[in-house]
Amino acid sequence: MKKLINSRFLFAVPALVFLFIFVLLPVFSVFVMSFFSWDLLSPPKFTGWDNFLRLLEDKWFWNSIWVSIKLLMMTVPMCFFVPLALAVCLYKETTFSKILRAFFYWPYMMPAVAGTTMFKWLLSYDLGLLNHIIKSAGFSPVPWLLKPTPALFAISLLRTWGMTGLLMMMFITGLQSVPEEFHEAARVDGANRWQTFWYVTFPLLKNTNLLVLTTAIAHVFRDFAGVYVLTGGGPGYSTMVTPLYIYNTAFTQWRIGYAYAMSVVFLLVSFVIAVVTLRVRER
Amino acid sequence: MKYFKWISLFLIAALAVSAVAAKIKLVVWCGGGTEREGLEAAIVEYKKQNPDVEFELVDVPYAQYEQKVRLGIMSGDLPDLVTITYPYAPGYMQYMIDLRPYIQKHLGITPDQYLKAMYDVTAVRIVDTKGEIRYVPLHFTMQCLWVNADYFKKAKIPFPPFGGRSEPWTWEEFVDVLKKVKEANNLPYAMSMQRTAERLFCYLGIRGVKILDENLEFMLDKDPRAKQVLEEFISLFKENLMVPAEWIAAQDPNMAFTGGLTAVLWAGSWSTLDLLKAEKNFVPAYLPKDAEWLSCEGGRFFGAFKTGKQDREEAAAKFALWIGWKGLGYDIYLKKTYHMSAYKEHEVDYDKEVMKQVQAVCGRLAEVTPNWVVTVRNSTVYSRLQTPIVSQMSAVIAGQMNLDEAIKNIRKEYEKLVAELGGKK
Repeated sequence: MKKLINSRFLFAVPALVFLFIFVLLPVFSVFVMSFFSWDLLSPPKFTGWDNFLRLLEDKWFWNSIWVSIKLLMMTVPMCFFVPLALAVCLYKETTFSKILRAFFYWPYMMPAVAGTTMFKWLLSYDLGLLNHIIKSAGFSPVPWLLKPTPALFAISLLRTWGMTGLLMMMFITGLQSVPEEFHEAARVDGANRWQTFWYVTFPLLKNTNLLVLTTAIAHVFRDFAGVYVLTGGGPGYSTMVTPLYIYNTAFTQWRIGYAYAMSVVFLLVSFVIAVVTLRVRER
Repeated sequence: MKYFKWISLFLIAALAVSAVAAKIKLVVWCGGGTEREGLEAAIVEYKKQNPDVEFELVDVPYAQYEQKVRLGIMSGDLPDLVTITYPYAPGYMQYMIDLRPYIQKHLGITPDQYLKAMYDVTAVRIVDTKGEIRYVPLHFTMQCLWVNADYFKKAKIPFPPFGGRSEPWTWEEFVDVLKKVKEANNLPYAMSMQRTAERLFCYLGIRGVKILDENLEFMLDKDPRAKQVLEEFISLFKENLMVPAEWIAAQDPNMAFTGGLTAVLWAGSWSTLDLLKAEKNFVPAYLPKDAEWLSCEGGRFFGAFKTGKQDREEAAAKFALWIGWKGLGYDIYLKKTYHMSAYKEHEVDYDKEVMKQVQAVCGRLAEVTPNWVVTVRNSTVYSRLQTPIVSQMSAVIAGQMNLDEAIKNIRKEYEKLVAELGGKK
């Protein structure tokens, strides 16, 4: 038995070493460096809790956390129900559904910056295709990226567009693993399509739902490229999500230690959200 | 005889190896695109004259450039030569070799003559506090206006200096011109401008307002004219003379200008290549003159890192001076990249006529720009204040915040930065 445990441990060693070097060590260094003032040029200076105290008074940082949470609340429901609906329509193995699956998966394969630039052109107030169509129809153009709420909605839409393919494939895998006998039994009992889905299929997708939710939350919460290219955090600070605020602090102001302190707080907020999500799902 | 043949072969091989070993290979970090093309073109010529030097050009993406340089400095893993964007040049000076001893040796002139040959605003950038010369100009840029000459012709409005007017507009005249050209051509807007603190700095400077004074004191809430001048800037967006999307959503200003939605682009000499591609009748023009007449300079500099290896430093300094001096590699670089020269009275034989106009317009603006424009912008506190300035102004233009609140917020950021830096520097 002891031998078996030892050999199991040995097999896990490469993965553990990888995890230690590329995950635990960087996280640990973030914690340590958050107590320093550093501009990546001169040697780091220990400043104790200064960065964290400064953070408490930084209203734009807390604003960025709130913007990130708002974006999460707007995007996650879309990232859940749109792929679910598509998966329900496309999970059966037909040539047509395979083509459509590839079509919906394609945005996920596209580099984030390319996809976002395309969106930016599409949504431009003066030069965008969307407003061109709206104007041609005789309506006033929509200030998609010029007002806070439409701008946040545009980011949310962009994220949903980019994620739908991946999440749809997760749901399709989940749906295909539900035994057909359950559906047949429900039909025999007189359940219609909606009842079969809601009372039989959906509860059986519990694990897939959890996977989709956590994946969507992680992707939305850490999104940087989309916001950076589409709005740059504007108008004003209305789409300034925390990763972008941290990036600006670190790499345009070169306040690396302060940015690390922000990362620590952001990590804790992410952790709380992850725990809450899991608890809610369990219930 | 048999042994003689083998010994000869061995000697020839040894000689070949030693010849290769004697060659110095200089590693150069540069931005990609036209900068690389310009360097490559110059290197081809340099290698003809100096066959003992080899080069390795390493492209570093713009977004990661400064991180890579800083990490290189921290780790000691440095190239021999590096191109540096102007805001970062002061921070790296201490790591660069002093080029003064090499100027006399390789260019045959004194360091003083070298500095006097270039525009003052460039000379201020490349010299450190001890008077040591740390960089050569690689390319030099000045902010200027670009006008769509066809729109101005239709509106029958002359523009300076190549559109029938010699003197710059006053600010009042300029706003009036924007209104007229917009109306005559039925345009949605009159002028495009990128959302940067540098453009705002230039606008405020022209209007006689400083964000920071020469002592790096924050002035926007102290100067009684500042608020009024900023309000006039914001009203340009409200009156649709400027494009709100450019300052609210960071829309690329070239899109509106090349797309024909605006008649004027407040950009600079660096825009030449992009604007040439549009194949329209775009002409450079003077920035307006109000309380002051000035512009903001920029560009990239070329420096040789202190590597501690004498022969490599010597070779790097020689190449840097060759590529950064008029009439030598600098001309090859400029002709390839369509950048203006950092040297006074330096005529480059460009194959595009517009470059002569760019040199004349921007050269004149470089001459009139006072040195405080450079020294203030060289400071760390200004460099770090740029992001808050842009965000706050963007919020005001978007109507999310009033100007007083924005100025107060920028003041707070300024104080935080000064406290963090341990002084105004």
